Amino acid sequence: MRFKSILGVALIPMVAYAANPVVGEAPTAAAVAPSVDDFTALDEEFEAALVEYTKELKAADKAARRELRANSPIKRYWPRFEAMSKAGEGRATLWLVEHIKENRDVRSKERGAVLTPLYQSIIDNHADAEWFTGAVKSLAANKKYVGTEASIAMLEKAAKTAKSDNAKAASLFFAASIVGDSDPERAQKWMDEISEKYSNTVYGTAARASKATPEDSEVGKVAPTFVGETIDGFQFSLEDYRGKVVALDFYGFW
Amino acid sequence: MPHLKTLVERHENDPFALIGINTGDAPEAYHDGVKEFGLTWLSAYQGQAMTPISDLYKVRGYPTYLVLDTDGTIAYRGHDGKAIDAVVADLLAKAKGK
Repeated sequence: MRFKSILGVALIPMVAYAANPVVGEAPTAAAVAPSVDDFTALDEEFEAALVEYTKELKAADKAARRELRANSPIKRYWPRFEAMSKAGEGRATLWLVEHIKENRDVRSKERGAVLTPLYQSIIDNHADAEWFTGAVKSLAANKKYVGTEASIAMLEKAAKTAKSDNAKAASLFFAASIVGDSDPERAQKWMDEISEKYSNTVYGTAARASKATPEDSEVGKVAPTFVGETIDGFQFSLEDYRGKVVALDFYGFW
Repeated sequence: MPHLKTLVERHENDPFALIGINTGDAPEAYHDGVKEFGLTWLSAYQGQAMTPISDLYKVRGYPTYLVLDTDGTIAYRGHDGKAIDAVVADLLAKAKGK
């Protein structure tokens, strides 16, 4: 069993890196198991290829364009991300689900069949990842391929397996947003659960917002507490500022 | 914005915090704005899809300002950026007197 699993990790990356063969000593399991750094490097390589491809496409005539499209970055890199995903790097799996619409080799009606095991693998194996919230958000966005009820079932499972309050709250929040207007009572049940158990998250703030009235935040009242997130993902709570005079500025640069 | 910067600098050593709540800017426009106006204070970014904090406070017009006392009580709510100067100064003076 142990031997088999070592083979598994050793073989898959060799397929994955077929385009860039590693010359030299035979890779050891420790050296080839993909890491976040490997993912980041591959993602950067893909993004650079995409920039180059867009440039070439602009300059090309009709015939050249067809040729370029037949060998587009998404076609070339998809198998590499796929192999990395199979070797256990969850970020690569997230990449696949987020890029599936750009991959013309996966036809629209096949997307559900491809996406379902990918999301299942993320929920089963990466519930403690800091990017898990992004995965449940993407599942909600892909609900029409995965199926409404199937998406909801997976989100409910995600709410249980997720480690952080933020990811648990996100799972319930996106389940509620999928159900939305078609079954407001069911959605409200999840929103209530979020306000009750996970009020210390951005989704807790959103859940309480759905019940807020203008009177709750008029002069003389205690300002409703909230959790905010900066563009870099840093989370803070208004509670952190009790004891200080605070000015809130709701603004946009637009 | 330049006015808010002055306010923050004036109360640099006081128990005061300005918190921005950005709504509606695309990430690129947000980064450009932060650079252009030299934002140094904490700012939540809500993006364009979800605006939970604005919804919680039923914010309908921008900009909207609120000034909160040290215990969280709302002392001012309105759209006048200059008016908040005096409210902040009063609350800080009161906090020092305690």
